[in-house]
Amino acid sequence: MNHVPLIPQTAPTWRDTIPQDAPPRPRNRVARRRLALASVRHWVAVGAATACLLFGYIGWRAWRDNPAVLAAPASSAPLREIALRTDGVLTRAWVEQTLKIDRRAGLMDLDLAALRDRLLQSGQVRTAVLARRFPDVLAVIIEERSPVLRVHARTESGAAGGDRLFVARDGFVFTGELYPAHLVENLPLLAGVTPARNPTGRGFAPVEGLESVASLLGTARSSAPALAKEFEVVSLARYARDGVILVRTPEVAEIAFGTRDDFYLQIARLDYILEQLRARPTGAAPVRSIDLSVGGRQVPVAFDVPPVPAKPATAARPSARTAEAARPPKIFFHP
Amino acid sequence: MSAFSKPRIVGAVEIGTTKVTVLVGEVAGSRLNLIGFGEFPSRGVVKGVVVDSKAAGEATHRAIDAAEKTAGARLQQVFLAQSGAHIDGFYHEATVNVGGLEGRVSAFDIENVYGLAKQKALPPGRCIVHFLRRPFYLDGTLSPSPEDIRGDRLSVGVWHVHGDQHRIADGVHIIRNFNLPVTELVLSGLAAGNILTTPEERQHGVLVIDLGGGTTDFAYYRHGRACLAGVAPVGGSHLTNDLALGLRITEGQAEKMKLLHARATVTAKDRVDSVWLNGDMGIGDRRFPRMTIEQIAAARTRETLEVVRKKLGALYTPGETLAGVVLTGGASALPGIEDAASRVFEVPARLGTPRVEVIEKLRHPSCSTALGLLHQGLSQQHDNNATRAQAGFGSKLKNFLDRLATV
Repeated sequence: MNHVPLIPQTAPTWRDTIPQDAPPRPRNRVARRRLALASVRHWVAVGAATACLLFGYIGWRAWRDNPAVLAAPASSAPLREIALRTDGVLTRAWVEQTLKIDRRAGLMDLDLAALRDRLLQSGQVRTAVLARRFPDVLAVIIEERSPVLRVHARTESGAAGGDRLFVARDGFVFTGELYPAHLVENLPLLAGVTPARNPTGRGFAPVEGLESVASLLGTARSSAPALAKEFEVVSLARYARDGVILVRTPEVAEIAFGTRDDFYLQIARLDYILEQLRARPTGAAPVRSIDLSVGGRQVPVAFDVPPVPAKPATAARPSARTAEAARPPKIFFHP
Repeated sequence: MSAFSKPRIVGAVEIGTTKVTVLVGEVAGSRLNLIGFGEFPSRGVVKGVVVDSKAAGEATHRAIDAAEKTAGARLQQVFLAQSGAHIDGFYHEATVNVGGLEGRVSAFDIENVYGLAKQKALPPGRCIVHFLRRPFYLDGTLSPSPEDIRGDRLSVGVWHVHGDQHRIADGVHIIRNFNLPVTELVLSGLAAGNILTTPEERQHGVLVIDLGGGTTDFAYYRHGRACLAGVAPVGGSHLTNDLALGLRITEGQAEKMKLLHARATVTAKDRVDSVWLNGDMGIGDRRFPRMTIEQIAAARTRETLEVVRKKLGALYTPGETLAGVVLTGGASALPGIEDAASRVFEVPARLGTPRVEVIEKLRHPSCSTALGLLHQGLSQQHDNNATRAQAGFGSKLKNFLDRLATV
């Protein structure tokens, strides 16, 4: 039986009679160049596909032979060690104590964000980065705040903080730990301002002006270390009003530094003035204040008045000349 | 096609007798952007037929290379314009009895009658370039879309455009040797007609004539469709040859005289008016009567247009060609060509300008074919893809059920 197609066959078209699957035969330079480029592209594509297949096969083999290698690369190995890197004084023991990590917990079970918050709560830690180092090490990198001054303030429990509260360069008040005793003893005490408590009740608001104080102390320590050691109290009582930092030393009750002028120049003048004053004969009036904040070439230096001997009752009302004499003498140095 | 898919780079290549023209288009979704153009003097092509494959190949490849360089992109496929004296055509009509439910025409009936109309055997060594379907007739009445209309007899005619498969293969292999596939083959006349006429003109009837260097392509549109297309093996180079013989000058001089002084109609009144061959008063410089030049050019032009009219046969009637004649191609630059065409075809004639916005260089009549080739090629490709999609299992099942219903 003959098969009759439903739709009649049409006459052959050029597509049917002219095949285009034969390889091209370039017969001029332009065509040869194009064909060469096409060949290069073709083989690059084939090479890339082969490489993909090869890597896929290698991966499949690895997975088939030891699925654990690919399926569970770090199957929660218990934490063995905390690797600490810091720029301050905190130790690994302190970090371990602060983090309070259960040693039976696996490395993958650690909540790194929560652990980081615990470190930052201490205040002494400015930044902290925690990272898992497989298979069983927790890497902790911390950046600490450096204390600039000591401060007296009441802690959250209501007790006086004593020497354990410090102020950093950024004005942050924190409870310092593990600082060497000699470092703490050499730090001047902050006076003139009282650190304000945060509205939440936890910690203190940053103290203004510490940036300038740190700069002053740093300049003094680097250019006149002996002088810097004598700084006992740094007062910011006049800082907010007229930008003056007051310093008390055993020799001078009040040294005023201006924040508008160069600290190095002021320290140099102070050193010169103190040297001149020390050269005075024994028993001379003690120095009450040196005002370096005035600027210019003159530095006002005020002296305490020596004690006036007791007079008879008849002289109850001093004369104008006596009152003038009782005022503290003031001289001007020209360093 | 999504907005993020990579655009296709398609090329339209016309290997003409005098020059090879290449246009590069970027097809993104339904948008076509022209991004490159290349041109190179043609060699090894006579009357639109490749006679020296190496020379023609080199000229074509250089033109494609230049077009790719201006476009900054590499072609992915090529639409090739087809012309040449070997192109011929014939008409074949088929009629079927309507077998759909309640005497309505079904999709199967339409496909069946169209298939029968295309079922004409070709002479050996020939292959089809285009099937130009004419409108359907239902019981002798014109029916552009007869599906679901009651009737008894459905008929349709198809104009078969066919060519020598070796000549066509020569052109295709030139492109293949540049490592590019030819995805569509378009008759030059149809390509030019696609870009130079509006749907309204095609509905009213319009004849497009592409006067090339070696051939004259034409396409005749009626009822909105191309119903006849072909190639006349005469062109601008014949006019040059006539001038060379008639004036006894070289072909180069004749080409110069044609460009400077030839006209498609005679306007010179006396033989006193003359023109110089070179104009430098040097040795060999001669004077020719302008009237002689115009008479030679007008006679050849009239003869060329009459060949086209003769090829159109009885199908062409001035009354059915209300939109007139549109002329394009390099030889259409001859002054007075519109008057000559009007006299021969008895309808108004005009020079064609592309219906799309393109740069001035591409508005020249010699670029019309390449421009239309891009549009026609994309349109054909879209139709072919749709036909292949329809030829899927669902379509076959529907046809089978239709046929069952008729039994």
